[in-house]
Amino acid sequence: MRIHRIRVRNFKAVEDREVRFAAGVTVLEGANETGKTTLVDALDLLLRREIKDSSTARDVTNAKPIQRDVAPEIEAELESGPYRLVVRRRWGRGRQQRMTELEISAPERENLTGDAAHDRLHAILDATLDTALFRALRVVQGAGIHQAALERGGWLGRALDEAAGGAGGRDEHEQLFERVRTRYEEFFTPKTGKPRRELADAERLAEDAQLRLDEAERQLAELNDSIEQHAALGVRIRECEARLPELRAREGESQALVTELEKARLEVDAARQDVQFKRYELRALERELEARSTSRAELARSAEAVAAAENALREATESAARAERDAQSARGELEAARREASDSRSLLDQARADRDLLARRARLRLRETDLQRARELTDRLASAEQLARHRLDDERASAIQDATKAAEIARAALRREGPRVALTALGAVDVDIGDERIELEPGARRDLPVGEGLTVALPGRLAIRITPGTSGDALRDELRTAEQRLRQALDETGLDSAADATRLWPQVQAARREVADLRAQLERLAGELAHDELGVVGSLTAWISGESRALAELQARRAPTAGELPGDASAAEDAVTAAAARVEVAEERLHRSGAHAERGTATLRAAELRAVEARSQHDARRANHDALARELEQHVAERPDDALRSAAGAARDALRHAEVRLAALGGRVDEDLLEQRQMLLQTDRTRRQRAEDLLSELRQDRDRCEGKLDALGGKGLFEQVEARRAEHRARADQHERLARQGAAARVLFETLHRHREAARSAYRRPLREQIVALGRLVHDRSFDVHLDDELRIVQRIDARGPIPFELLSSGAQEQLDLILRAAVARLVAKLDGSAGGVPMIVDDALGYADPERLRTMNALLGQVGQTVQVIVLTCHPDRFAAVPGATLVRIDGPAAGYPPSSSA
Amino acid sequence: MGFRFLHSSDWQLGMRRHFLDDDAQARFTQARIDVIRTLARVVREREAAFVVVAGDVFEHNQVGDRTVDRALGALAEIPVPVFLLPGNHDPLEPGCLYRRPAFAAACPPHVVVLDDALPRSVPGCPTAEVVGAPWLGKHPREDLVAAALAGLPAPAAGVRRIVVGHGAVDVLQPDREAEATIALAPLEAALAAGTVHYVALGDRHSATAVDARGAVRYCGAPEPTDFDEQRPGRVLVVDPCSAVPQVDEVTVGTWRFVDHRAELEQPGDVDALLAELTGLPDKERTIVRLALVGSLRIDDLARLDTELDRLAGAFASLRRWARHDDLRPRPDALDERVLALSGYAKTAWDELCAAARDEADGPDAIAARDALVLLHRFAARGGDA
Repeated sequence: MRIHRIRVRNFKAVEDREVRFAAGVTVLEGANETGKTTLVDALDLLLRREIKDSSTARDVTNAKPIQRDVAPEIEAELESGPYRLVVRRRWGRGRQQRMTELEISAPERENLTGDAAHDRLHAILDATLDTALFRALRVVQGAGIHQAALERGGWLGRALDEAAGGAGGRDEHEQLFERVRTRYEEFFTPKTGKPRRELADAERLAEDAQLRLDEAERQLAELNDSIEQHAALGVRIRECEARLPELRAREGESQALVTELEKARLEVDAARQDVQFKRYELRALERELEARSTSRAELARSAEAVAAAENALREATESAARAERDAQSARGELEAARREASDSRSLLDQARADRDLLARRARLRLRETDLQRARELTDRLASAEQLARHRLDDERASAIQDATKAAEIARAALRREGPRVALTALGAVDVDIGDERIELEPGARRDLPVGEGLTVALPGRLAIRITPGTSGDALRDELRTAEQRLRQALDETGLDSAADATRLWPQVQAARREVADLRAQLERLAGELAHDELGVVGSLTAWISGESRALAELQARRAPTAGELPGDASAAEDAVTAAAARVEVAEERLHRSGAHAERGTATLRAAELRAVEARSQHDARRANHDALARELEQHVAERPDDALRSAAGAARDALRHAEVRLAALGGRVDEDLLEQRQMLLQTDRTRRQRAEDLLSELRQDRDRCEGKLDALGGKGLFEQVEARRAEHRARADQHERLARQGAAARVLFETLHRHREAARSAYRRPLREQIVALGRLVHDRSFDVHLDDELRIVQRIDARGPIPFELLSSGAQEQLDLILRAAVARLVAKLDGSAGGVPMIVDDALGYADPERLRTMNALLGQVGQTVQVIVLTCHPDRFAAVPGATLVRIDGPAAGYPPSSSA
Repeated sequence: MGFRFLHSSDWQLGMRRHFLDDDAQARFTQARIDVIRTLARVVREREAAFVVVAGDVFEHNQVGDRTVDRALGALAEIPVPVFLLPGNHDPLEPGCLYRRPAFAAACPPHVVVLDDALPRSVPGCPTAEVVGAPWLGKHPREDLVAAALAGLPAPAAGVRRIVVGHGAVDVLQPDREAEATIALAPLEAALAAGTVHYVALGDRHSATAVDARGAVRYCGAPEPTDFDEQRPGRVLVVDPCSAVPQVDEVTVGTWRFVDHRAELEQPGDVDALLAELTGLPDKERTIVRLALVGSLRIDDLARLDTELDRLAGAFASLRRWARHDDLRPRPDALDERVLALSGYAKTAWDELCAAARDEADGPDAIAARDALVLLHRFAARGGDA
């Protein structure tokens, strides 16, 4: 299709405008809102199938100018296929205002109006234009720069098909492919290609049926085995039953032979036992005779032993009595020694107590002297302490001294250096100087310091007040300070003058020294006595009275037997020494007699023990002797010695007889033969036993077999097997059928899919080649792209490698998008019957392009314009100025009058 | 006094055929019971004095009690003595069905199991004597019929002796189970000597006269059991009283086994086959096995599949005999107007055709053929749409 001309009246902001378009590139340039896009929108509206002149669609009502009651109208001159036509349409309120007109000038002239014109227009467009592609190749202003959704099929599809040599990609094949895919997915999952449930179930069911069949067959086989086993058992049982009678007979014969031989041997054994018994009998009698003579000898020995024990007992008893006597005398001596020791210790204690009493009396007298002295010292201390408590101390005394000295110095300085008044008595005169009245001799001179101020008066006549003014202020201040300090120090000590202080200070110091000395003396007198509360005098007084009471008490308590108290300490000490010597002698005696008594006691114990032992031995021997005697006596009573001797003789005779009989039997027993026969019998018995056991086992087995057969017989195992075989067969068939269908679906799908992929690849190639050819005008020789099945650019490839489309910059995306459209437009333009394909409309593009890129894109548009009609709308005067061979159309402001358009 | 009797065998009660679905199998099983009642009718119509069944009354000793009960129920309707001979399928082995308490309890008094080889008189028919040669186990080590006859004294004057045996006769199948094969010569000698007057045999399911005089016979199964049987579905009405026994074959079977082989090369061949199958009578009692060879166009192949699927429902069984079936597609003869394939679909088609043409019948070739049929179906449907 080619657009020759568009005229718009009363359409949105445009009153009336007509633009003519070149066959190649037309650049429509104008400022924003000058109606460039309106022109293209108007063409779209004119060509839309569903928009008739009576339409009230929003796009139509929006087209009506605001605040003007006029009908929008569009007119376009187009060429599509063999048709050249002009179409006009006006949308209005009433029938009068509406209008659709179609003027066809080629190939044959036709004029149509109303719906007929509308229908004819769309019939022509349907036959000669791929409208979907036309729309896809539009870049609508403000709609972004995403890739156009390119419809498959249509002109592009045909163009690609032809360019790819008819590789094919048409809809009916896609439908076929979808059917095949659906069929495939009935059997297999789309992603993993695993069998779906129906197929898997069929296989599982077949396997399950096989398992059940196997189980049934196993049971039937087991039953058949039992039948076979039963038959085999029958044969063996009959064999066994046939053999048994012979085995039993043979065992019976062997048994008879053995029994006979065993009977003979029993007789010999009995005779041998008889001999043995009689031998034992004789030996017993002989032993009893021997025992009796032994007992008698033993009884005699026992009597001797009893006599010896009696002697020993007597000696031991006497020895014990002697020891008892010795022990008693030792104990008497020990008792006397103890008494003496006790008495002498009492005497010593009394002597010591007397000595202590005398010592304490002497100390009491000393303490009474100390008390006298302490009373004197305490009186002296009280008077010394009174003076010592004065407030004067080292610090204060030197402070008073220092302050006195400083005041004197200040005063001297004031006198020396302060204002002074010199008085010279011209005659005798009384002068009051301050409060003092002095008499001055004529010619007497007085030089007086003014000090703080000085009043000199001639009493009754004149008073002169002299003040120092400011002269000598510093000296006066110094003096005042010194005097204040002196006064303060005196106040603290309670003294009136520095002189008092000077006088008193040595006395105070002496008193303080005396206090310390007296206290020390008192301390020495007190000694170890506690005297904090009562004072030294009180403590001493208390101690003396207590000690006096204690001594009086001791004196009173002294034993009346103690005799006279020694005269003095020395006599007391002598009495102590004498008493101690007596104690020593008494204790020595006590020690000796104690050891003697202990030895006596030990001797006594040993003698008593020996006596007990002797008695015990004597008793035991006596008892033993009595028992022996009783026993012998009893034996003899039971069987006198003569009877015993005659019984032994009889036993000897019986033994001889038995030995003779055994010797007579001995030769008749053949042990080897018996053993041989017994072994044979054992063999025969084992054989018979085994045969019976076997028979019993076989019968049990047969019974078990029969039991099993009876139990399973009516179950119809065979029919179960057959039923399961049929079930298995049916399921296996079903599975095989499904598997075969699945295999067919898989082979078909995979084959078709493979060829389809190959075809698609071939189908993409021509478009890619076009894109690459155009892209290399803009980029370099390494430019390439990768297209997907939907013919979208998914990657741009250059010397740096592939870059996904969505990661490209906005500018690069827009440029690539434009290249894709241009490539499509060029491909379609070559298609037979497309009559130059579809116009490519570019609305306000390449805003992001740099100057160099803009230049190359301009060149690209020029190239495209050689085969395709290109309409470029731009608001930027220079952006598309360099498109080779382009026709430039400028639009200025909303058109009011007749078109100011121009065409090249 | 003359008499007639019925010679039957190989009822194979309890038999199951795996190619029958449950429904058809139920009918198949019922037919084998019903045929016993048909025998009862024949007995009445032909005034037979007794019936001998020469072995394999049951398919197996381990059929269920229900099968036994139903058989005895039908046997009760036969108004004359019936002699049942245990055969190789139901020998008198331990645990065999004839010794089950259930059998003894349900067995009508006129039904006798020939459980030994002793001559038996026939109640109500004093001139007849029956000697059975029962199978006592699955693997007999001798010619049981010969053993039964050995040392047997001649029957009383005027008595006709009927020997009932089961197994292969040496002249027909000399190899089979050599030890137990029935020798014909001693039988012929006994027949010639007049100690035996008819030998009623079972085991072979096709009605067959073994000796020249027609006195040694297989009667065949009363209902067919397999595809390879000749003239099954009959019972013999025997009159043994003349010098040469008079034997009538009476058809009693209702089922048919049909082996059908066809060579298919043209669409017309398909039409003919389908017409032939459609024309078969009693389809619900007919079991068909098809062996189809040749090559067909894909569309004919697809049509054949569809039509056979449709017909199969009418038959007791209609199946392809995989071992003998070799029908190949002829993809090169594809009708382009139907398919109108182009582009990748066409190249895929060509590849599948090449794979399907592979002479080896590997799974790949089969899958390729099936895939072609499938593609044809989808593409044709697309064309219709």
